[in-house]
Amino acid sequence: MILEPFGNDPAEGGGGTGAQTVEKPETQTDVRLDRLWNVIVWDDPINLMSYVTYVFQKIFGYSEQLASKLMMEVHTAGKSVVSTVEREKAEYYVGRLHQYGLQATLEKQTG
Amino acid sequence: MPIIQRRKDGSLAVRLPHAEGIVLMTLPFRLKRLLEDEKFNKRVIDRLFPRTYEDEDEELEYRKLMGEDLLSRKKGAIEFFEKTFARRKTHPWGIEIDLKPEEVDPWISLLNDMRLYLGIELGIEDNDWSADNDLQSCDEENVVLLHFLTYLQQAVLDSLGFEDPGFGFEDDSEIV
Repeated sequence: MILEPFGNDPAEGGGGTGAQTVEKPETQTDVRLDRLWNVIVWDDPINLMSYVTYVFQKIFGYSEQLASKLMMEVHTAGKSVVSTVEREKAEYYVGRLHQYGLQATLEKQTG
Repeated sequence: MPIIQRRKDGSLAVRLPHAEGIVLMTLPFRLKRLLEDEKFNKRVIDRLFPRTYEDEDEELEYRKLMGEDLLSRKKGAIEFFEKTFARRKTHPWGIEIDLKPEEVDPWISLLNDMRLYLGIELGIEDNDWSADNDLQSCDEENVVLLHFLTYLQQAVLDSLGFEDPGFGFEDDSEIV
């Protein structure tokens, strides 16, 4: 009953560990810029670095290399924009990140 | 014997001495109490359910839509965690819990929630908390439990191929 939300969602391209690997952060270009939102993950001292990498791969289907790079950006810079998408999808991603215990917020993309 | 053994089908065997197994079995009770009473520890609730929007109105609207969903999923994860212990096998050396491939992810997540809870209780704000001598002496029981859960979570992640670049423990998992 509670297993589905963790890895079987259509937004993940089929979900679970079988999701297609993505090599760069998701950024939609087919919608107006003022409709795009940045999904930001913030550093915190409790979550393990390996866990954050695991979550990025799980939720976004990112490659190990990209997930590690974004994790290191969170760790060293304090935050990282891990995805830039339409609001509805961005809210979905933040919900998933919160479910995994990561600190995530939304910010309207500017510029 | 490694505490985590990953099988080729993706399932895991978690093997723990009796004492450590009993400690883990207390986790659902602590988390349930937390989730059922928001006043129990507002800081922990705020951490497990962090803000999404800076704007107050947008945040309220988002909470209305998503708050209950997140809460029910957290409660569901606790019930799931309890069920994995209910089917444990008992051996002379300790207990063994079998996790199906699809159960590994929520199991790690629950361990993480408990680590967050303890970390906030202990007031951890520094990435180097494991070397903080003041912290070690302030709340011994919770510090020991946090270290144990950190070790266990990393052992599970190791078994999945997610080694922590900043983690000091040796790999205690095995793929068979």
